[in-house]
Amino acid sequence: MTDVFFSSWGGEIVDNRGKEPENYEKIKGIALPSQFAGKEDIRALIGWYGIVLRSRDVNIVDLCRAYITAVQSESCGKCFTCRVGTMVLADTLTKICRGNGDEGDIDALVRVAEVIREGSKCNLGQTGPIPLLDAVKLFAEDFKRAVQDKKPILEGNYHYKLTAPCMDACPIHLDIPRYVESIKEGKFEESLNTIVEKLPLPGVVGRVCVRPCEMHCRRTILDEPISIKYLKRFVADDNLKKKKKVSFKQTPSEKTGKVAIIGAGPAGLACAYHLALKGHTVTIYERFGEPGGMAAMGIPDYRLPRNILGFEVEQIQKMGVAIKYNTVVGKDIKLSDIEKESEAIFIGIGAQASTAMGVEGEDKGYGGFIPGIEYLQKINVGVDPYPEGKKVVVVGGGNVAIDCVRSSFRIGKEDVNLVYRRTKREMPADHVEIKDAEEENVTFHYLTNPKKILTREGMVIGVECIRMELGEPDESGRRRPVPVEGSEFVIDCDILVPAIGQAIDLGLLEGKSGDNVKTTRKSTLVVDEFTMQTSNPRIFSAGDCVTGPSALINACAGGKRAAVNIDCFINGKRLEATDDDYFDRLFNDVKVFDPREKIGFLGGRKMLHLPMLPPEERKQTFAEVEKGYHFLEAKAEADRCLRCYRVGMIAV
Amino acid sequence: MTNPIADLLKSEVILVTGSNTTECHPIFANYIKEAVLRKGAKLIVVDPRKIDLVDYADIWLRAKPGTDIAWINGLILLIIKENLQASEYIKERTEGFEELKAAVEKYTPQYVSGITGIPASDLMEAARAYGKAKPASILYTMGITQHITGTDTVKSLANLAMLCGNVGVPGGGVNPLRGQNNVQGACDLGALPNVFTGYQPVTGDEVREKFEEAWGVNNLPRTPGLTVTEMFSAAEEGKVKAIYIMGENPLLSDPDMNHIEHCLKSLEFLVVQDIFLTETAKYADVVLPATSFAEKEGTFTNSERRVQRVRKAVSPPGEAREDYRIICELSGRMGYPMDYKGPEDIMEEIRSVTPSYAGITCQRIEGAGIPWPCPDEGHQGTPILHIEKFVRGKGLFFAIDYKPPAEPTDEEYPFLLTTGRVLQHYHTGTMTRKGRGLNMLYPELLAEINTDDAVHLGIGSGEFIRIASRRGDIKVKSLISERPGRGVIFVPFHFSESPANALTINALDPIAKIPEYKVCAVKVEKA
Amino acid sequence: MVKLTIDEREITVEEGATILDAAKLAGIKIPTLCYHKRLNPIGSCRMCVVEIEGLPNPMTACTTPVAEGIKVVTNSERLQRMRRETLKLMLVNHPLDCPVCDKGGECSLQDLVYEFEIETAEYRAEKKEREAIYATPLIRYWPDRCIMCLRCVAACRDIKALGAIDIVGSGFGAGISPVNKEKCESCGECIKVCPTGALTENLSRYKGRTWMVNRVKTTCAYCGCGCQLELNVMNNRVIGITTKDDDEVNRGSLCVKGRFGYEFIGSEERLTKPLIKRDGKFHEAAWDEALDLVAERLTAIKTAAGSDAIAGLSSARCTNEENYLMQKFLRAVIGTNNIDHCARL
Repeated sequence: MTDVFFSSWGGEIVDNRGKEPENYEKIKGIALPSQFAGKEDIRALIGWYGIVLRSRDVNIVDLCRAYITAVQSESCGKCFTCRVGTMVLADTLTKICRGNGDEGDIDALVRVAEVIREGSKCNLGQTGPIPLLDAVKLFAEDFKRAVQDKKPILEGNYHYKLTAPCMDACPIHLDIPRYVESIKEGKFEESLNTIVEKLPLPGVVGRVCVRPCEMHCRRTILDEPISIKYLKRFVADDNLKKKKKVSFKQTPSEKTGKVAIIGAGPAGLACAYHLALKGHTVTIYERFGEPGGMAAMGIPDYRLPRNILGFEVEQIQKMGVAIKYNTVVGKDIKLSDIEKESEAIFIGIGAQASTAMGVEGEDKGYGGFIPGIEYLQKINVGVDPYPEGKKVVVVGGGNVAIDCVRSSFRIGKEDVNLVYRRTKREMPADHVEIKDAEEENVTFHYLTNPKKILTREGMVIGVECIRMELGEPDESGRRRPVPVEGSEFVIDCDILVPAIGQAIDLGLLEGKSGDNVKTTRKSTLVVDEFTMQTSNPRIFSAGDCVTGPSALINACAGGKRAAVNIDCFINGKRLEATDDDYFDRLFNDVKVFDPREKIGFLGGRKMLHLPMLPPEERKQTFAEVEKGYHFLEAKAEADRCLRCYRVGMIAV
Repeated sequence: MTNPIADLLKSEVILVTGSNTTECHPIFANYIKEAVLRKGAKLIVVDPRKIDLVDYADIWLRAKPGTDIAWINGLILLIIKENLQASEYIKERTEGFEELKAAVEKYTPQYVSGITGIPASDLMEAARAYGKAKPASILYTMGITQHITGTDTVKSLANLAMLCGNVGVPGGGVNPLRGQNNVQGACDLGALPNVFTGYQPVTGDEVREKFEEAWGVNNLPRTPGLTVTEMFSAAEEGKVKAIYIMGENPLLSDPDMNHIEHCLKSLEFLVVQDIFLTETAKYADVVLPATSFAEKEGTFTNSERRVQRVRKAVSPPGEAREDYRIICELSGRMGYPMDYKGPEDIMEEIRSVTPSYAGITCQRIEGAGIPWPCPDEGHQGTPILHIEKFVRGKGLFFAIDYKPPAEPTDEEYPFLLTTGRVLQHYHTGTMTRKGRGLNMLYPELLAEINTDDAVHLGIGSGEFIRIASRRGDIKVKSLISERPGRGVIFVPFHFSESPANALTINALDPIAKIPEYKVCAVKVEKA
Repeated sequence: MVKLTIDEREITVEEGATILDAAKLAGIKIPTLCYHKRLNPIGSCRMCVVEIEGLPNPMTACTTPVAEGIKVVTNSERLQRMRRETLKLMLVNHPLDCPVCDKGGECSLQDLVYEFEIETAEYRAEKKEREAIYATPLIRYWPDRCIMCLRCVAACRDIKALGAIDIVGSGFGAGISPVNKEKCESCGECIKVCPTGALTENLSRYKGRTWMVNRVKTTCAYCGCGCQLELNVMNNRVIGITTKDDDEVNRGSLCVKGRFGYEFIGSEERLTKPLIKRDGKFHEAAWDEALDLVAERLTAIKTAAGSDAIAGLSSARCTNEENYLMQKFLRAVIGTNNIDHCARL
């Protein structure tokens, strides 16, 4: 349906004024949802790429006034044009809207808006005047009338949010431009404080994050994204090196209570941290003897050294969070018993069971057949899972599969193979890690699928595989692999590690309390997407056990979201989505960043990559592969940031 | 200093010890911060107090006061053990290495840790950092020298620097930061009992002959005279009967104030020439009003050996006169006329008898100063000493053993007192305590005491405490902080109302005759 | 090395240099305000915008590193327009109290407004009151005069590495505030770099306009750093201290003593006449009387007890020339080597 009568979004003007709705020209490049927060109609959008008008009742002058006023209030004050210029614009527009406009005001608006757009230091000032300039040009009559009429214009209703492409892409919405700017200015502690306002695991995430932010970094258009991940790691490491305590701002809620958390993984830790910030008493039940969940068990030390995770968990414990190790809920303690002594429960048990491959013999318990997660867990606690074996085949294309092959070298396996049914291009694993594994001499068998496990006396001796080719795209959009008949061949091996997926062990839900918690067909827990509440009002959940295997930062974001809502729950407040949540949704539709955008700046400053141990050396050891930035490197890298803050506003 | 301060920007590692640089040499501290924060140099601080510089340090070793030789020897041993020494440099440019090696053998990290309180692992980290750096610079001040083992400690630092080939190279060196504007110049110009200008010994016959000829006198004294601390003792014994003091306030600045007071009273005649009626001047028979730096022409020589201009900006108050004119007048009255047209004229004479100043004229330093040695007018000066070869030829390693301070703590006097300066004041406060500005910021004396000690003694911050040594006692306000370690009290010496030097011990370094201001035993109680 | 063209002149500079560095090297003047050579580029004032061929957006020369082959234009109608507009923005709500401002006559804003011939304060905005609190009592902050160039913040951070002050608040209401007051050393590095009269000294009771003051360059009288400074003199009084960026050792920096510890020079307590003690009390005396007395007593003691019964203490506070004369006096006139000073203390 096309109900937009005007758009200047992205510089493409669609002007349906004077046309009947059925003759409206369609707008391209933006999908403006009809409602905000499920209850308010979106009548107009004004933002970084222009204006989109749906309702003719929206007064364009007032819309501009409200928008520029918002931009001014968000201006950081660090450059003259934006700090003062937007104030001049806002005051002039306010004057016009109050009916006190003068002849020369519109000219002045254009002159000042131009200099702000051209001359501002960061993207807030560079984008802020764009819709105003569009409006003054394309709605000149409206402005002229507003000045001439000298009548006050009724103020409309607006909502706005400050965002940035990286910040928007980050599941936990870290204020990335801000913490990067702090690094540039040498204020490392301040930078860390900005991060830990939301994320308690900066050192961990700074090492293993899948970095959606970098994929949305606007600098990519000029040369390469800035290294947001390594910068985060840098401030965490700098703090650790200086042995400083992170200063957490604890602000207890009016009412505080007892909360139990099941699973000391990233989701549970993030949840515990944010609950502790609000003054709640938190106990975590953890089945293993150490914290971290998949971060400890599923990620090898060469990517995430134990002491980093340990230090950050320690900080959370120092806030009063208790962790009961080696306690399996559902076995050692019942969920219903926990429920009795807690006001709320958070389940963050992850997805630590392995998915079956559907290959003949995988349920027989053959010696040398070890599911991927189990394989990594053993290695990570310092045990060779199968000392008898030397030749390894890992099946799968995700990060767990890559971790399995790379870890194999490090426990002394000599011949390491990876079998994946699609091509390298479709592999879901981090492409950097794939490159690292290639350098370490993993043999990759692409377009290959296991068919049958070959054994002798109950021991794996090989795997029969079949060649695949890519057919039509499937529901995930990737081309479906199809077996090539008669192409069977055998790879000799004595260890076979399936790592094609992870499943969720819902054992803890057995019993009265768990009965009320709805689950899906895929054995994930059903939660409200905004509040993380399960069908049992006192039980919340997030992380892999809700989403299925996913990135660590998603689990942290979910844990934080659950904590916010648990706090509301304890304080008897209504649990509901916030404006921020709805803006997330809106921005998802209108896109904060268009990769086709032209940035008129000088590029050619590439990302500063971290130095790495050479492949032959690193594959022998679990020592961390990547060395962190020196602070001068961190400052130089931070200096590349374009600070793409921008304000999006809707009229309702 | 062997190197100019700007050289720090070329250093990979900077070792600062016994120097509270940010407060006592704030501008030199700027260079340290710049080297660390903008050039990426590593900073090692060795100090018993958690001074502000520690905030910028990669490694901080909290050594107990008076234990410097132990940790320096410890570093030397570790550097040799790790084979990080500059072997070529040692072979070609130094002698005495084997003796040094033998002497440091027993200074294992454990042994050093026992003496200094520095954890073995930290010592190791420091040894590796200093040993691997090319080049590394050492900065020190009175925290190193004001001990009975001061001379030995300086030699130990030189051992360390030579061991790693850091002497005579840009960005390296062993650099004492001088505490007073012209202490370097006063030494250079012969205001020392054993040397004429440019460190020419009074015992040298040729030297004396040269000066006799230049000055038109016979029989210049051939034996070294008394040092400042010896002068006062000699006064007490009646050997020295008159003292002429120009611009000094020994009553406050010298150790054991009660002893100095007694010495001053023993004199037959005391002349004090100063800009204020100082605590010392009150004991004078005649006080002569002199001029401040703003009221005269001349030169100062800074820590870097850079000779720089002093210019007259205002005329002196009342009848006050330039110090040089007063000396000339006196000299004439005593039968030796001195007819100088002005300071420039005196500089010409200095040049003629002082080889290291020979090339320095007032015209040449009009724009920017020149660091000596500067042997002739075509010479650009010498920013870095000992390039290519040492002044004495080969650099000599000294085998030095650790000796404990003169006055260890005991049951009766369980605290170590260490004295020094604060940012806002200078020396005996004669200048800094006169205006409003600085006194707004630091109006009264504060004695720093460790938090745990304060709790133990029941002292609250800002409460008065009494500090007593075997020689005297003072009452001061306390400042409870983490800066001093446990068992250490820090008292600035700027304040005549509660003079720190009523407590200090008159124990001297046998060679340099520097008093041990940095350690003596005291007791502390709530006042 | 990187080759680029600025205003049709080919220039070769080191990699990592900024366009502004390159222009300076070539002697091409680009207007600046927030740029200061001792500080990391700030980029707040936008005066140094330049155009780069092929790029639609102007960029600030102070923050943009050079790149191989770029062609830079430093002056064009567009750039002049931007600079003029920006300057007009700087004047929004700026009090035109130049006649009573300490900085009048050596204010960078004044100079630029003059250079660009801005004749009226064209733009207006509602005034926002900003607090005038500062990190040290020795310095006064005038928020209305502050154009937020952030040099003071950068100086505190880049030169002193203290971070005592920072920008606080957002938008037009943003101001400079002490954020770590306890860290402030009152060194006055912020005053030194302030291009306007937004930071002034709170100490001297004797004021003087810049053109009435005589500045005498000399060497600081405190520690052994040997900082170069200028005594600001009016009517035979030192009323303040200034510094020059190019001077050796301190490069324009000073510490609290160097910058604010000048009051002793004009102190009422200075000695102005010789004093002779009689019956335990000091009496003012004429110079001849005092000098005769000293000469007489020293001669008498030398004759009676020998030269070594006399000792002299010279001074690390006095000049080289005075120290030289003092030791010469002791050695040549008195005949003793009993000469020392406080080097050991």
